[in-house]
Amino acid sequence: MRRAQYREGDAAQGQGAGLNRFGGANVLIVEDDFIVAFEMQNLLEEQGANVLGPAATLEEARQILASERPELAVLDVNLNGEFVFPLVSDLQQQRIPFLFTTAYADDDRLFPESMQSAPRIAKPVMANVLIAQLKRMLDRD
Amino acid sequence: MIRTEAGDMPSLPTHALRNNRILLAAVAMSFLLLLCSAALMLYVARQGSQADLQVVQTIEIKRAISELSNSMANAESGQRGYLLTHDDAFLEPYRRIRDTFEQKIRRLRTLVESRPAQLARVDELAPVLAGRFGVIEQILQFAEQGHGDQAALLMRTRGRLLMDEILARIDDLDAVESRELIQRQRSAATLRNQFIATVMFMLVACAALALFSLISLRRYVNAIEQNRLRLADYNLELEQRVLERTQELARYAQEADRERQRAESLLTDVNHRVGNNLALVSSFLAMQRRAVKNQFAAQALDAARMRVQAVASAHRKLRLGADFATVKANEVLGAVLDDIAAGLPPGGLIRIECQVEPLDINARDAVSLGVLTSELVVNAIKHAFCPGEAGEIQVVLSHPAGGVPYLEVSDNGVGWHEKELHGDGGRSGEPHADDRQDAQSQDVEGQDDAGLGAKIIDMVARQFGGYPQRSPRDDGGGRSGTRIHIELVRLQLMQPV
Repeated sequence: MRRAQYREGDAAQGQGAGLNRFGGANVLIVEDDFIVAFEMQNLLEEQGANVLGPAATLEEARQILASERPELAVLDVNLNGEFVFPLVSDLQQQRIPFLFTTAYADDDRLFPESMQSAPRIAKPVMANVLIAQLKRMLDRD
Repeated sequence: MIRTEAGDMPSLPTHALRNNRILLAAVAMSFLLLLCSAALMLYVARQGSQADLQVVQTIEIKRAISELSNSMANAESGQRGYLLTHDDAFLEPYRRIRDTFEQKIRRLRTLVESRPAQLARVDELAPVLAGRFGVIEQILQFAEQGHGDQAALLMRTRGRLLMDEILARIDDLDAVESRELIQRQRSAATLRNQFIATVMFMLVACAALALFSLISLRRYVNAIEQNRLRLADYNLELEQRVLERTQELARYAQEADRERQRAESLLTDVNHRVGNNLALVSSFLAMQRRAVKNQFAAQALDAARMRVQAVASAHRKLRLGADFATVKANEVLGAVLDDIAAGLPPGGLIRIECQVEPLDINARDAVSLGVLTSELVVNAIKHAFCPGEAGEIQVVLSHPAGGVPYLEVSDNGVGWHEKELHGDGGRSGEPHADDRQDAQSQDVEGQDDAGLGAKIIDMVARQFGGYPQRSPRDDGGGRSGTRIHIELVRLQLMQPV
């Protein structure tokens, strides 16, 4: 038995509505594909988030982290052949909740032991799934 | 590189075997010869001892003859002595021989009884001796009666004659025996020589055979030793080859393993890129959706994005199979249905029930099956229920034993034939199209999308060698519902790894 998950922020409803679900929360986006990053930025800004980045490399992400403090982070796993995992320890130190967006979502072997429990969202990312997950993480804080 | 031929292996020599046979023959010959020699020696020895026995017998005969001769001579002398002295003591030898001569003759007869000529001579001697004793008796009577001259006359005449005859006969006997003795001694000597010659010959023969056997044995041992050495060489070479081959195989296995790992990592990489590219396409569609103002265009773009999502959901499960060639149907369809459920409008009124058997299917079919299922379920969500209406959609993928696998999507919404009864004339030209309409979406564009969905369902079903068979679900509820059953004749089921 499979129950439809009730998720807020259905794309059709959220579209262009200018809802302020995230109340200006800082969300760091780390994503090497500019188109995907741009669309995600649009989506989150529509929901009232303040997007940091998007950072395309680990270096850029670290520079942002040096000056800003995001409340949430959305991390692409593979940044042009470079894994995002080294950044995770920085985030964990600063207690910033994060989630992975990746085409590897179902491949557990790829993820280090300490990051197995972090939420993963499969690419292509469904808007309502991403928003609902981020909202949960924000509310938990 | 892989050597399988055995042609260059050293062949084992066979002359060792031949040597072995010769050796056996030689030993057998030696034993046979020894046996023959022993028999021959025994025979010759017996002959020799018989010859010796005969020599001894002849000597005995000669002694008996000589004894008889002596006794007679003594009797003669005694008789003369008596005649001269009349002393009775002189007669003693005479009396002794007179009483015992028959016994002596018998003994002689016994000794010569195998030789008739000699026996005849002894038999002739006996009456002469008896006659002689008669004459002596007569002489002695004359002497007692005082006729000394008569006695002396008789003694000189008949006595002498008889005595001469006796001596002649005894001499004759003795001469014969002497000749016999010489002959027998000669034959015994000959036999002894023969015996010695035989022994010598046999000794030489045995020595030759022993020498031959020794040589054969040496050759045999040499051959065995050489064979052993060759075998050892051969084994060494074989071991070397086995070692080389094992190493070669290990190298191949390692290479194959490396290749497999490389292929796997490449495939994982490609799958990842496909996922990212699908994300890119999805993002493009989302951006376009944001850009258009027309509601119908927006709906069309949403539908397109939903289809891309279905492809991506199915694709996501492809890399999980142990061998990349197979994938579990329940995992693929589970991912597709999860993503559809995640995109459902809030309120949670529509349940999607998934009854998919964990069939191992060819990875090639996975995306098509995911798309087909997605279209059927989305179609049911859109058209079976009114907005805000509760409903249930059941997805079944099953492979009945001995039958054809099938996909079945059913809902408890408004039945498609009820729609037909209500008369929607414009759609009758497309028998396969699911032309149900829910009450609130009569717009032309929405119908076009429904038509497109039905076409996609039709095409993918045909790809699997089936077609959608529609029937009412009729599960006793208020509404008849719809059941769409598609037999997947060409769905390739794989052996689980």
